[in-house]
Parts: sequence; structure tokens; C-alpha cells
Amino acid sequence: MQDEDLREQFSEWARPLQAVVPPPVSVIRRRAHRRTARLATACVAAVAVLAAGGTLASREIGASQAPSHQVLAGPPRLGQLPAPDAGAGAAPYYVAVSSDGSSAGVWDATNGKKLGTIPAPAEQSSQVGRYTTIFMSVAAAGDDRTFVLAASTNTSSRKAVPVSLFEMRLAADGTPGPLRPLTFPRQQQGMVGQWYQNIAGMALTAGGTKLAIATDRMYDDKNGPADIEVITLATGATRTWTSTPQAISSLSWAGDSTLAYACGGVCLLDTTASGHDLDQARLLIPWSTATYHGMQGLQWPMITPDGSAVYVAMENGPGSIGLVEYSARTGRPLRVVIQPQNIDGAFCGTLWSDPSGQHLTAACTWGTRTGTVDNGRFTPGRNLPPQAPGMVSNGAGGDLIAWLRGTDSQCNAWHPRTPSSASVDARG
Amino acid sequence: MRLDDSFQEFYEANYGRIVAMATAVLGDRHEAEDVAQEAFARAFSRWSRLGEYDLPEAWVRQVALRIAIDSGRRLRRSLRVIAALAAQRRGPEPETGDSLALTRLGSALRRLPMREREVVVLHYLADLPVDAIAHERGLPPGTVRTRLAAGRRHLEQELTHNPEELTDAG
Repeated sequence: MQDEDLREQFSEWARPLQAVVPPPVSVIRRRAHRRTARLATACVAAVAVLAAGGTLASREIGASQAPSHQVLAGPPRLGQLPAPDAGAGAAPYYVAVSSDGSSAGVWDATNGKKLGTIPAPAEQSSQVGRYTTIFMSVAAAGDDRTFVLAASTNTSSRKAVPVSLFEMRLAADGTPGPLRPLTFPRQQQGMVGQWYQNIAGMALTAGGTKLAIATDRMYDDKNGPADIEVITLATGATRTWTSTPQAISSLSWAGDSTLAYACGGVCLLDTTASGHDLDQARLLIPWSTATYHGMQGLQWPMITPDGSAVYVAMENGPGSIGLVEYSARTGRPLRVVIQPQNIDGAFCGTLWSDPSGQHLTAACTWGTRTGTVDNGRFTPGRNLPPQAPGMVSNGAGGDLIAWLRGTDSQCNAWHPRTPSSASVDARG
Repeated sequence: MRLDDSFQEFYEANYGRIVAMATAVLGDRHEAEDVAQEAFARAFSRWSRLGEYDLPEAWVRQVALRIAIDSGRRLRRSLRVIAALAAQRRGPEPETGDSLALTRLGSALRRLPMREREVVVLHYLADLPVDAIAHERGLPPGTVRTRLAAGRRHLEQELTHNPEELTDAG
């Protein structure tokens, strides 16, 4: 079936609806006025709560520690990374998957230099036969040296296919090491599940002890439940939470136990609690009620490693997106970290924050907005190539930050230990 | 042109398109109208600023899509309750478009996972290119292409293997 045929079918299908006579505009006005009144009431309440909680919030931020970094003396086993060594300096590295998934690249975030290429694994065997693989996703531990890459079959088969996990370590100079298949006692050759090659999100704890993977399961091409699987890498112990069909993305860890993710709104999953029902996870910020300073919508949530705050992108117009800090304890907005800007097509998100929330990285298509937050003032950091559309690792509480820009697929990175107040345009 | 007049013109010109898009996502025309009205109400609240945009309909489309996705999730979660209530009351008289969800295309759309459905709808119904969808949805273009390809493949298979058109609007 040609694209044009499908487009024509859609056009035919929608024609009667597009001709529907809208209700009088007074219906919309009344609805808007009712909504404004509700928001005004909520804002008054929020201001009162914020005023009361301001002192406490300031104390929490002031008491937090500066970001830390470490250099690995040797290659520890995955899941047994040493604790971050504050003060040790090292170049932050990140890994980005190519747009077609055929390879992954390693980059030095301080200067944008490409350090190596990792081809996707050769043919794999599974119950559906032999197949070539492509990288699907990548996650980073906090040491900037340890990465987990997920690979799956490059096939149009509608059957469920396995997802394989590989560990990849960088040498001290950033040279990529070989891919090592992760095998777990309970699973074959890194096989995570039997669902249809869709990894919706992946996150490694800062210490590299646990890997969380979100997938949208499909059975016979019908909508299936969403899963979050947490694997303790040292032992292979696995727990799975399952929800009703929904889209889950943007996983991030607070410590080794709390997982934040986009669930329409922002949800928090206590992975130490009993149960396997993802619908029982705490809905910290409902999408439908999240408004702040005229901004609404929630995108790209990221929880700080200490579990105190969640950063989300919100908008007050098309392409007018800023960044808001929410309390991860109360789910209430605390402050606008980056003011929204009116540039069409922008999107913005946070990929990293140190435990204090004072150093963070946000990506916005309207410009580089990485940097530090001090007393609510945002100081931009640097902007680096390479062109690396596709999945990019983030720092999981370490010093590495990388993300995508939407308009030009430019990859940006920032190292919070050497923040720059100047924006560096290093395109090309 | 007064603000109210410009909003009314915008509203009347775009209401049907937003309803069609929301119906394609939700598979329920009445819910889609509610979504569209909520999106336009939000647009009305900020029309003094929104009206100056080159493409205010892009804003409404984004908002409507998000409400639709959120609404669809709530709908699925409360499916049992809705089914129980529906069994106890007589449904409304059929209106224009009620049967659309039961056409071949409507049925096929409803079987698509939401992540594929939204990009398929934006591409084939709203005529947005991949890059524009990526911007609107905050997704990498590669992800949009992947979802679009999967959605198209699934639609084709549905339309090829289930050729009978359902015409009973119930």
C-alpha cells in the first residue's frame, strides 16, 4: 500500500468529522472561565504552601553535596562499582547510538572529539532464527566508564524477539572496550523479555548496581501492558512491574531504590516495596493538573539522585518550553529553572542533576541551556557536537550529560565539574 | 480584528480537524469532542499571546493530543466501570461520525499501540512531516520514523487481512 493511498483513506475517513459544526464559541468561553477560576484557587493554595515550605526547601538545597566524579583504578565487575570519589577529575564520556542503530559512538564531552565506534553485535541466534542486530538503547553508570547497551533484531518480523544486553567499558583515555554479553542465571544470554523490540527507556543506577528497562509489550500486535524490569546486575535477580497499556519513558533513578518515569504525568516507583502492579506506583505529578506560572504539560522528567526534586519540561505555547523544578516529596512545583522561550518547535528536558539540584543539564532546541543553578539563577554551560541522533547515554548521577537537540540532531554535552559561563557553539 | 473575533475564526476553522485527530487517537467521537473543547478552552485563556503565533493550531493540536492520550489512559483504566454504567443506561442517539471508529480504518487504528497511533495520525491525518512530529512530540526523528514504519506496517496488515468493513454504528 502506497503512502498516498493511506493518506487518501485517512482523508476519506476524517471528512465527516472535519465537517462537524462546532458548538457556539460561548461554550468554549464558559469552559475557559471555569478553568481559570479553578487554577486561581489552586495558585493561591500553592503560594501559601510554598511560602510555608520555602525555608525548608532552601535548607535541603544548601545542605546537599557538590557533584562528584571518579576514575576507575581497574575494571570492577558491573554492579560493584566503587563509590564515587569526590574530587577526582576525569574527562566525561558519553555514548550515542547512531540513528539506524548499526553502531554506537563514544565521545569526549569536553571537546566533542569522537573516541571510537562500536559496531552492533554480529548475528545472534534465537528461537526465531538468526538475525542481525541493532542497538536500541544505552544507559550509563555514574563513573562515565561503564555503559550498558541493549540490542535487538533488525527485522520486520512481528514475532516477539529477544533483547540482549551488553556491558561496555571505556579505558581511562575513553577508548571503548569490547562488548560483553550480560548473562543472568535466570535468563538466557541477556534475554530481557519476549516482547516486541521496543525499549521505551533504560536507566542504570549511579553505582551500576541495577538496571531498569521499560518496555511496551505487544502480543500478536495488540496493545499490551507496559513493563518495568529491574535487574540487579551482580546477581541477575529480576523484578518486573506491569501496568495497564500505557506509554512509559524517561526513566531515572534516585539512589538504588526509587525510579521516576514519565507516565503521562510523572510517576515514582519504590522498587523495594512489595507488589508487581505498576498502576500502584505513586502518581507524583498528574499531567492533567500540572500548571505553573502559565506553563503546563510534562515532558522528560528526571529525578535528582538524592530523590529531592524532579525536573520537568513544561510549556506555555507551541515551542515555548521551560524547565520547572518540582518537589519529589510533595509533587508541588518549587520554581521555574529555565524561563520558557517562544521559539517554534522547541523542546527541553533535563538529563542530569547533581544531588543538590544546583548543577543540572537541560536541553532545549532554542539554544544551549546547560549549566548551573545557583540561588535560582541559571548559568549556561557549553554546547558540543557531534551529530549523533538516536539514543544517548546520560550520567545516572555521575558527571556525564548528553542529550539531543530536536531541530538539528546535534548532540550536546556538559560537564558540571568544569562549568563554563560562556556558551560554546562548536557545530561542525 | 478583536481578539474574540480572531479566536472565533480560528476556532471554527480548526475545530473539525482537532475532533478528527482526537477521534482517530481515542476511537470515541464524544470523548474526542470533549478533548477538542478542552484544548480550545485552554487556547482561549491565552489567546492574546497564542493568537500572535504563526501556527496556533500546532499548539492546540499538541494540547489536544496530550489530553487525548491521557484521556485514553483513563478510559482504559476505568473500562469496567464504563461498561457497567453503559449496560445500565440507554446510549445517546447516533450522531455524525459515530460510525467512523467502526470502519476498517477506525478499527485498524484502535489496534495500534498508542505510540504508533499518535505518529500515524499526525503524519497521515494532520499531514505533518517526520521532523515536525519529532518537534511536536519531543521525540528523536529516528524514533518517529521507526514508530511510523511499524504503524504503517501494522495498518497495512490489518487492512489487508480484515477487509470486511464494519458498518453497524450501533
